[in-house]
Amino acid sequence: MPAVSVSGLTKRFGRVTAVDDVSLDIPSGGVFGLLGPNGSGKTTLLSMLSGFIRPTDGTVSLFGHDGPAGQAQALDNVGTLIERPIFWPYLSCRDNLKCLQGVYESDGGDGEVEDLLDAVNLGGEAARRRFRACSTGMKQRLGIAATLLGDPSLLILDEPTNGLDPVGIVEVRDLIRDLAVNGRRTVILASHLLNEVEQVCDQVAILRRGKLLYCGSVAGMGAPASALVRTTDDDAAASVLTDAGWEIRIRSEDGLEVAVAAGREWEVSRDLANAGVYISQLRPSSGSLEAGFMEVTGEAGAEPE
Amino acid sequence: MTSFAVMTNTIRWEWFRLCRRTEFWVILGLLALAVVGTLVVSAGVLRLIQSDFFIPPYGYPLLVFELLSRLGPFLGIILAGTVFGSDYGWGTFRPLFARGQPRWQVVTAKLALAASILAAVWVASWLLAAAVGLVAADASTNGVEIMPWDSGGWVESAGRFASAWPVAIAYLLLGALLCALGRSTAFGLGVGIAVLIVESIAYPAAGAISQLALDVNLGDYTRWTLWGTTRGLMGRDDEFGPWVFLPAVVAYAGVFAALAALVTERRDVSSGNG
Repeated sequence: MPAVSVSGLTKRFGRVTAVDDVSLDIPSGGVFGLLGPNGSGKTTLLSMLSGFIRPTDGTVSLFGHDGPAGQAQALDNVGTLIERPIFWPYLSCRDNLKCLQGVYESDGGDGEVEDLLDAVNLGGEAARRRFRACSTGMKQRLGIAATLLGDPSLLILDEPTNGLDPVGIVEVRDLIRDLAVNGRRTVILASHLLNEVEQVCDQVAILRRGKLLYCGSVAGMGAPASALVRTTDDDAAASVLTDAGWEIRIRSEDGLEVAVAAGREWEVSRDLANAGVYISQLRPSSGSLEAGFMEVTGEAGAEPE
Repeated sequence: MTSFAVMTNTIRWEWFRLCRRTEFWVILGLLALAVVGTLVVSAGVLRLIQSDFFIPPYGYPLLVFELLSRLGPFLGIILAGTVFGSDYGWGTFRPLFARGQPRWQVVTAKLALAASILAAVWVASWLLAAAVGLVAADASTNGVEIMPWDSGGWVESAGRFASAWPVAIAYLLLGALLCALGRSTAFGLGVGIAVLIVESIAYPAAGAISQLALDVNLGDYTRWTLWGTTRGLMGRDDEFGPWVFLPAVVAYAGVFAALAALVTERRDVSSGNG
């Protein structure tokens, strides 16, 4: 049974259709990435999964629970961080978590709040700081800690590394990976960082203008692998490789980018050597998610969200 | 867990947050100052001028009633903004609803807490006024009784004092509804207080003009407005007794509460103003 299943999900705000007839299944366990350019409907989709926004049309099923009542019941087992961390500004980090622990009736016990504060590096003095006085990074970390109250099976995280410094980004990325390890939890991660999605996610969905363009494995949407080849004579090399049936994607001062599957780079080397052209450098590169993203969204050159 | 247990838990954590808000204690502090000030000035003036006049012990709660009956509606609206509107402004309804808590239960718990706070304010004020009355009356019991109100003793005095509480509740619920409609504290407070002021100025003015110019008693029509019924409940209607108006005030309060819950239930939960 998928953790999340949506069917024909649509949300219109007046004349604007933010999410347009999206149907997808998110399997239990692992990290599921949600990508899309600005205004593609990612946050609206996540808000509908979380019950904050009512769909105009379509259904949401969480752990097999359908309908508004079923969804509300299932949300007891879902942690959400959508758009930005939201807390009571006059309460300290500790009191905010303590309050939410009480409201959620989490059975994590007395130590849960302290453990979560430590897990996101908000222990000690930081825990006593009022939310309004926290830095963006601290707020973001507190938001992540709140999603973990009650140890939910599904986490919905909307750009959780926003505002974090590079060290914080790595820590949160590791934390997300740990949370989903052994399929213990399902994490839905919307991120504007393609390399983050590439490193953390097993599966990915791409939205554009509210429509679902792709849903599948991260590996499946990457551009084909290639190798950058530098030779003693690039003109001759280009001629030899073209005659041998290799596709030369880009030719630049850096050398030739040749489409070649991983592990078969030696064949390029062989063909060139047989023609008396010698390689000074050969650098294989796997197909990047970025290239795949641009291809799927048809927005080559555009900034992903 | 039963709905009652969920509500009790929600009220508990509402109080956890509310009692940590400085604004809340400032409001209560100002109110306490006004109540104490009224009592001290009343008792003190009588003693200072060594008048032959005195207020009977059960009259002191009525002095405070005069204050609370005028401040109560404002207090209700401000409390609605504090307990209910703030969560719209900050977007903190999101964490409250995040784990699928029934929205109507959260709304009801908030309003129940606010109503309980008003009840506590009323009880504390009455007890304080009664205590001051008993002490002050000891010092001057031989003069002429000053009792501009037809109090009729402790029971009627207490009843009249209590009548201002449902009035404050009705305005509390009006404030909550306005906060829900505008999704902000500012809207709730602004429009709520404007309604209160406009009602108290416009109706009497319109009544006087219509009486003079058209020989029409507008009071027959405004009697059953929120302003008219709350005024009537506090014994300020010329024609009917106070308790005639209680069902109407309760009906207004019920409609405001139901609409506030319905609006919160049906609408998308916004992430606030940041």
